[in-house]
Amino acid sequence: MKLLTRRHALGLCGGSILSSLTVQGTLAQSRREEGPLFLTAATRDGGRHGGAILSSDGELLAEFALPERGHGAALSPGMRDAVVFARRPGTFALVLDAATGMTRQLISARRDRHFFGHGCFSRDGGILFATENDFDGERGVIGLYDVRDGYRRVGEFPSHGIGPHEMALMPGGKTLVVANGGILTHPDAPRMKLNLAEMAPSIAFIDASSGDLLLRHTPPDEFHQLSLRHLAVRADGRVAAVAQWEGPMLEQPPLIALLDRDSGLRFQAAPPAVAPRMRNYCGSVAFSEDGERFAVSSPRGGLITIWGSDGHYREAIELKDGCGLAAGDRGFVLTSGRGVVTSDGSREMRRHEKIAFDNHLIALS
Amino acid sequence: MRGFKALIFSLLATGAVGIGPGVAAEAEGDGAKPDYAAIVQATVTGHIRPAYSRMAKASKNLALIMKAACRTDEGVTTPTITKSFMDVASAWVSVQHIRFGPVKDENRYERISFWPDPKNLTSRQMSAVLVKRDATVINAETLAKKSIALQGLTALERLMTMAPAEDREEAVFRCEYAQAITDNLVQISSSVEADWAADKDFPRLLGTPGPENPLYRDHREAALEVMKSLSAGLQFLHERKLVAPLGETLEKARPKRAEFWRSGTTLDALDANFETLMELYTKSGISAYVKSVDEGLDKTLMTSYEQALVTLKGIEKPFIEAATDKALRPKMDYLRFLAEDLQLRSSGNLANTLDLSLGFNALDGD
Repeated sequence: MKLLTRRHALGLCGGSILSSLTVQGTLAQSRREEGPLFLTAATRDGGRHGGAILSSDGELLAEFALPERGHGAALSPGMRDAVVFARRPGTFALVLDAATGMTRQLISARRDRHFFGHGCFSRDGGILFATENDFDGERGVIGLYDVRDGYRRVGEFPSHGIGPHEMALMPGGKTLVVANGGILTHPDAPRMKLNLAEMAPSIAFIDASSGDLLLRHTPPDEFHQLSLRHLAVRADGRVAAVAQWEGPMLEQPPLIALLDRDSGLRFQAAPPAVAPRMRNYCGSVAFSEDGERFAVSSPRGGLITIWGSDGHYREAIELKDGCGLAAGDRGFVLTSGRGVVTSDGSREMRRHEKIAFDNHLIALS
Repeated sequence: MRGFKALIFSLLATGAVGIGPGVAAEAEGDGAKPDYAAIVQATVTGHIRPAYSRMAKASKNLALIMKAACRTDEGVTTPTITKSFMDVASAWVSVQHIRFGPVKDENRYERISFWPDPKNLTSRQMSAVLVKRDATVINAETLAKKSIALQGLTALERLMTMAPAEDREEAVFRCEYAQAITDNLVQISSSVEADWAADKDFPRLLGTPGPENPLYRDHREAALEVMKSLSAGLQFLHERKLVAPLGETLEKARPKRAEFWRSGTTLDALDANFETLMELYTKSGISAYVKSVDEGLDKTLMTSYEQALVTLKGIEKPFIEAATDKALRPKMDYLRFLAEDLQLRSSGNLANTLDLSLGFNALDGD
């Protein structure tokens, strides 16, 4: 099988932003032979931002350029389009053809909004939802983009909280679930958290067509500085949400919560030997293919923890600067900022030189 | 043959409850390593503690002067107050890059100085409390619970530089508010100084990493805080303090985006900023180590810091004028270039030399 070399991939993405990526057909062929492919934002040579497509066994199949650093990605139903969002407070999102890896177009945020780095598609694939910051209005919003009209922004509704980050569509397709991290930021004050004392993070269930708030779950008062930023949804609607602690550094609150739409947050603590290693910081979460487990990355602690879907801790895997994770055929595929791709199933790891994989990995399946 | 140079490692067994070695066996460079424990120790004793101690002292001095000035109805704009404010501003800038440890507790960092203030919150909120004569801002204890925009140096600077009070009653209120701000600053900076004492939790944990330590597993991880402070401090200096107010060209300059422009202390603060980052680089022992393994890099970095300090001394007008002054602009652009160069070399070459490259995926709030 013919694979692109790194030189090829670099040559293809060098220079222009929207260059074509790969020889048409290569990705499709690779997918047939080796299981699902994966998409992640990545940075090469310490400063050239872009994204990468990986095979199930960690081969780097293609790279593409982005104007600035990317973050999360979304895949449309039927695997037509994949969208990579800018890392906050970025203002672009790149649309790719999920089958070939060809870039389709760049979406720009409204002047008075920026992307938070995540989004998802409606069930019919007609609308792209993106978490955005209305920074002057000091509120989170969900931007709506009409896929069939060239991703034209057609509206927005409130995220019903400050600092919406990761978002997903609930099974059934009628409800969005949004992790409102609760931290107020402004693009002109990039390192300043403007409201730590008054943080009110939440997981909001929102009607995907009207934008109405259906239900909102918040941590108890003592954990109001627990910024719930990432979440994953299982096929039956169970949600796993993971947090970053903004409170006193020597406290160790539980960082993981399970919830169903109508039940509140059920916090799950890691065993005492493991909890400190998570460094009060979770970067990504995903359920396994069979839904029986979920994986959580803690990049500051260089640790991936695996949990049963009932909330019981199972095991931990060390992976320095490990953050990206997604369900694969044979367990979780894990990536790191040091160019590593590994899996808790195959227990083999592959390291690519001079590339750093970004926080999130999605399966193109 | 695979198309990529990919290294295959075996993933070692992972325990069911404990943490297996996992992929920790990931290759690390075999070359010489700096003494991370010594770097941390030297940074704490030679840089952090003295710098916070200066901050606490300068705040106390300002509080005393403010109290005296208010007692004699001199108002909040006397030259002595301005001079003393400048000392506090410089002392703050000298610790501003230290964004880990005790300053993170209780929002102390944001409460000392709320800047940049892109939406002019300080002005907006301050107008409201002045009109209302809000009694909760003239007492340090109640002020500490108010909005961060009303508490720190940005608020005080605003108070010191606004149009004169209409009447005596207003002047008295402003003075009482200024006193509450300075008392609050004394409280915060003294707490941070005290919490860095050797027997306190944070410095103890920083100096004694280990598997049970909730913050640091090894000395390298602790030394990473030092590296992050240096690199992020240079980035903040470059992006917020120079690029933002200077703009791409003279015509695009927005000098009021500079730090402490109202009180005309911007250049002093910039001087303190380059000075303190150079001090961190040298007093931490990083400079000495780099000199032993890559003398050229050390020389380049030291020269850039020194050039920046010399350049600053040659700027004879206040920052907001110099930013749009044709004759002085090249010096400002040179400063900006030096800051960028220092930042890129520090987060790149320097971090690699020390094997302290910053985590790619561990940034705040990602």
